[in-house]
Amino acid sequence: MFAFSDDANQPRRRPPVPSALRDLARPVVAAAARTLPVTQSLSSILPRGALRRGSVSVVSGSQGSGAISLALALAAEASAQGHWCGVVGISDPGATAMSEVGMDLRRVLFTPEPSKRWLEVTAELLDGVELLIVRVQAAVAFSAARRLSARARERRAALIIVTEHRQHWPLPADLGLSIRSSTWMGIGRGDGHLRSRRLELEVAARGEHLRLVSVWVPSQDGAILVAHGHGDA
Amino acid sequence: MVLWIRDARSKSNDVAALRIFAEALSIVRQRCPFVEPVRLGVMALPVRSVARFFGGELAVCDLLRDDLAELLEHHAMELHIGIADGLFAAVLAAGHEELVAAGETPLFLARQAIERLHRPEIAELCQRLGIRTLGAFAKLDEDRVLERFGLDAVHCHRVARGVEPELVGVRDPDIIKRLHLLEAPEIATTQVGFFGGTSARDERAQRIAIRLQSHFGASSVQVALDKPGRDPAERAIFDAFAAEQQTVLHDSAPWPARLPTPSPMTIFTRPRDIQLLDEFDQAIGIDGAGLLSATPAVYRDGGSRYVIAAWAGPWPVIGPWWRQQQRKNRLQILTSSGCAVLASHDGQGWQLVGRYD
Repeated sequence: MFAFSDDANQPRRRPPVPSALRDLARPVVAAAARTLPVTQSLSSILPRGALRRGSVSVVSGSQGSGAISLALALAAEASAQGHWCGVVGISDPGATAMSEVGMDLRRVLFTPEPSKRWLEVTAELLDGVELLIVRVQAAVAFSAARRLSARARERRAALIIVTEHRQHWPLPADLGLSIRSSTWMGIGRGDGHLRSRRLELEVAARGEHLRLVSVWVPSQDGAILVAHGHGDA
Repeated sequence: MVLWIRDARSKSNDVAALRIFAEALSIVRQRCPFVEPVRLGVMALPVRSVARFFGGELAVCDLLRDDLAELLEHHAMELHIGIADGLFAAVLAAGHEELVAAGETPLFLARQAIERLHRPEIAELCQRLGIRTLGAFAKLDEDRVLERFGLDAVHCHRVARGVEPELVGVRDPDIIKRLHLLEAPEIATTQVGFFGGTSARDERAQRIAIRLQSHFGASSVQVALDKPGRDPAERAIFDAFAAEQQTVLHDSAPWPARLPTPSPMTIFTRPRDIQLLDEFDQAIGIDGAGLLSATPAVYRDGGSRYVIAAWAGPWPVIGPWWRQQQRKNRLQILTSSGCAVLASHDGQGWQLVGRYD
């Protein structure tokens, strides 16, 4: 072991590792086993550039603000690379839109209306899929959230909660994406059509400063793009 | 606006002509996603919004001529472009290479020969009565037309007056089907090893799906089958998960009159009735030319009112060829709160069919 600790000459805190060096030093193989890939453009807003297996992410935004699209965009790359996904509680899903976002629908299990038994369904599905998107309509009980987080960690699946209010998930999340505003482009008063949507996000990753970023979901050419970061909030 | 590619029509049963037409369609679609095939060699597009985007109707004509020049020159074909209100008038305008100004379509129609209706019986009777133009025909009293000529003639009469935009028979009901068949070989039909059973992952997912179904019922776990279609609601079906192999059609070809992407993330399986209103709270419908009857300001969904910030359309969505009569119009609506929805007009009223979540 290296003794960083109690040497009086050493500064108390480790200096930050330059990002270029950090990229080089990253253990590639091990990381791939611990994470699920995300679309390159979204990876820049995630801690360590990927979705960690066993983690819980909370995507929040009011109805119609793009929260579902954003959650699916997070899952798309893993889905495209052959990982199984589950989608719970999204009634009337638009399969066309999902494949446009990049989901491979051949490996998606839908449970559109789990009603009161959503907790059991979710817990079971965590056994079978590597990525699970769950839309909750009301506050989740503390005990239920604890149980699901533990199950996700144990099964090494990434759990993505989609909700209208961040408070619906009572535990701290590994990753929180809150949609602050959503702006459609391309549509006019009687002309054009919906083309792209700019989301202003608040990114709260565990152990990191809160950040504000803009992403395009979808962008002009249908892909997901990160416009620019605003730095710390 | 109607584009008529001449020569393609003369060899009407030729697959090569169909192929060239399909190619021309895809070229035009890059400028305007709402172009729709009418019959072999003839395509129609709503020119108003396109013209606004490209700077006038003439500019659109020039652009499309340039886009198509190489293809048509190569096959020694000619392009005729015409603009008028309504499909029937626009097809005639293309024959004359005429750009009929807004509101002058009735005058343009009035000058056309009665034979243009392609109803020999009516034409013959009219000739005997000394009626030679659509204008003269339009002046007849509708009741008398019904009395003398029958129901179909009333329809023709309305078209001649510009009340109805489309003459039955102008469209080839099979053209979309034929284009589909043409494109069919390019669709990759993948036999998905849903559980072709090689990977441990697939087996694990299968096991859990079956377990869930045994606990919560067969329909509790569903899979999506993406199938080509013009209507977002028609384009995917959800079905109970089944462990045997599933065929998923991958939609790589652009389908005629499909809505532009992105597609709505939520498709309501039970569409809700809404009212589209103008600033004076008057209901808005679709007029004979396929346009909104007034400028939309608000839509009412149950007890809630949503202020409309922007909208696009209406775009006609032709039903499948066996349901030609069920013409629908689609309208994208963006509310002042930034929420985008898709509405549909079926001739009776408006319904909310999807939301861009």
